Amino acid sequence: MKSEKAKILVCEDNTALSGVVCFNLVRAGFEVTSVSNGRLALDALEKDTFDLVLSDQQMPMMTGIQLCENLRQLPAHRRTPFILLTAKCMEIDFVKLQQKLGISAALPKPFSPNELVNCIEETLAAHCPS
Amino acid sequence: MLVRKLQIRLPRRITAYFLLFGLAALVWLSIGAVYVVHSVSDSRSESTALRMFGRASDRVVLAYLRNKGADLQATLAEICSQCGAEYCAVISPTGEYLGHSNRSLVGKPVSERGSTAERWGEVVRVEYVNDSGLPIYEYGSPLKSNGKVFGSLRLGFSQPNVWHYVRAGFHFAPLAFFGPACCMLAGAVLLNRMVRPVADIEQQLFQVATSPSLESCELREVPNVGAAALGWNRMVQRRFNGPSDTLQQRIRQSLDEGRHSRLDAVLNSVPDGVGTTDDDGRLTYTNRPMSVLLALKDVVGAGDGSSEAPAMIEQLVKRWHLSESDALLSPENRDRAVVTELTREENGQRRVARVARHPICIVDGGKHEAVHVWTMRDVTQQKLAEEMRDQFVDTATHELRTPLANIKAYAETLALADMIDVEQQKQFLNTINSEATRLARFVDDLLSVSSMELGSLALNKQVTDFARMLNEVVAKVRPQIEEKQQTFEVVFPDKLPEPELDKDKIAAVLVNLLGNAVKYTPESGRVTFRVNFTDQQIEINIEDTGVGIAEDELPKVFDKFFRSQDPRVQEQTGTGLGLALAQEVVRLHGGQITVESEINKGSTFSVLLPRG
Repeated sequence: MKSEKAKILVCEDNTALSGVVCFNLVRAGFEVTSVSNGRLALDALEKDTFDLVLSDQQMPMMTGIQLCENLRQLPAHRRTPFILLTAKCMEIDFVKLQQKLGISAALPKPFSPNELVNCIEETLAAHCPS
Repeated sequence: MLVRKLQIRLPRRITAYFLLFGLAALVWLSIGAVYVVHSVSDSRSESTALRMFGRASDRVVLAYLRNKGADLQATLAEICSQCGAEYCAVISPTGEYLGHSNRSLVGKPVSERGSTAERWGEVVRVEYVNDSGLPIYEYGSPLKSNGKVFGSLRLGFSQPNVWHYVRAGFHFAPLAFFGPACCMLAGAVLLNRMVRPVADIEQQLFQVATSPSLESCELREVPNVGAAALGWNRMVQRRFNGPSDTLQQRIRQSLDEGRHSRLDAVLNSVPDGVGTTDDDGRLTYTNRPMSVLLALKDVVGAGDGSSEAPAMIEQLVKRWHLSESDALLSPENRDRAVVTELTREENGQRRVARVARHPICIVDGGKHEAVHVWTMRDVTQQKLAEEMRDQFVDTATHELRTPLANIKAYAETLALADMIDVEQQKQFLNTINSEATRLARFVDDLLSVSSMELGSLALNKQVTDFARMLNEVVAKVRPQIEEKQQTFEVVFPDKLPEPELDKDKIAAVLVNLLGNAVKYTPESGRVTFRVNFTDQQIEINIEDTGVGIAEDELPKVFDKFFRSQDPRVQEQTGTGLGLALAQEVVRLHGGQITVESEINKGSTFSVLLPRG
């Protein structure tokens, strides 16, 4: 297991989904903070540091991409890995988002929890090769 | 045949000239003949001569008696001139001239000449030819005074024959020649003026008859003399000034006109705007829809491409927001077909028009003309429908994928992860169940909308305990209301009727309306559910103190897939189908659904259902 637990912020408005995501991430050995919208996520990010942000795209008040844009304004999170969960993969120009906002991955809904965990682990490994 | 007729044209003219001349000459000759005959007959009148002689004799006697021959000479000269005689003389009995009209002969002896031809009593006529060759009739008789003869009177009349007069008429020869000549000249001029137009017309008609086509003939006007020329000129004028020159042209023109009017009718009945512009981009034609889209006063007619015709681009800039970077304005697109979409604001609403421009080449009378054909269509409704569809696809994707994602995630977690306690497993399964229900409901809604579109949404009507149904509805929405800590006011009459209706569908409508009220009303707001009934109908009011609906969106709330642009609405999930379905269900029951709303204040939805 990991020497130090990676801290992950989950931002998802659908409580059912965030529940199952958190359950799986905790089981995979991450330290998880869950919020239900972008505003709360930004509040949490300002207070604390996170190793990775996992966010839904379609949320009230603020979309996942808007959250990422705001996130990049924060000095502490200029390079924090960001994974987007989206139901509309086809409408998103992922390459452009990767270049512009440094989004690490976009996971299409529905996804399997294992896929999600693998994706997070790969992203974290790529970000911190140590 | 025609040629032969034409050949007589010249002789006829000449004949006319000669006839005229002959007439003039005849008249002249007749005048001459009358003059000669009159002269001859006059001179030959014997009785006249005798009468004159008798009168002369009396006068001479009188003069002799009165003055003893003092003024005899003057009297004789007077008589001579009065009678038109050659001479007049008085001879003494001794045979010498006592007096003579020729004074030089007075006192000279008389030489008797000729012989007696006639005798009437004392009067004797002697005939002789004088020195100048004229035949002279000399009348003579003795002059008596108191019965005594004192002399004799001689009166000589020249007696010329016809030739003499003719010769004498030679003095008038120039006049006789120039008279007819002048007559003929005048006649010729007159005749020429009269005959020439007719000849001209004949010549042109001959051309018409011999040339292959009427168009190649050059018809010209003739001097306006006579009815024929007048008629001809009018005909020629009409040919040149009239609307069409020849029969062929007239047929072509009327065919063209027919084709034009038919084309015009066809183009005007097309719902799209159709127009053409010339090389300068000025409108040469618009149909009615195009003139409406461009806000022109009237249609631009075909062919009157005057400089006053508006330029298409200017009109588009004026009426529609044509940006400077539009493909229509780029010069390299001039010879290419261009399609673009333009927008404009009208009464606060965005209108969209699709404009297409096609370059075409028209051959007009051998002249190649580069023109553009424009078509313009108002696609506002289409755009709105597209936007609505996009919004629906967006919503539907979300609504379908979210429960699916949850179900998949939970199911996989359950399947793969071990060491999950039973409570948690149960919770997971419940979540899967509720997500599946949500999915099923959405699919049901979609199916209802689809049957609604087909008109095959069927009702399963049965006598319903209305109070019970209302309680079920309230029970369904109460948890949501409590979650948002809203005040829920339910006002029902003590007794409720039992109408015949589709219980499930009406209940779904009421749940939907109450659900909306809860959804769009902030926490600690108020939702009122009020039911009343009369003899005819049941009235249900659902009132909230929520976000309200903007005035411009109010008419659209019952449109399917419509969702308000209000961000407070957008942040809530919704399919845009609920109100559309509700309206359809109520309509099928013979009732109606209405809405009153004020933005930021709240909304009231009223459902009226018949009691029957």
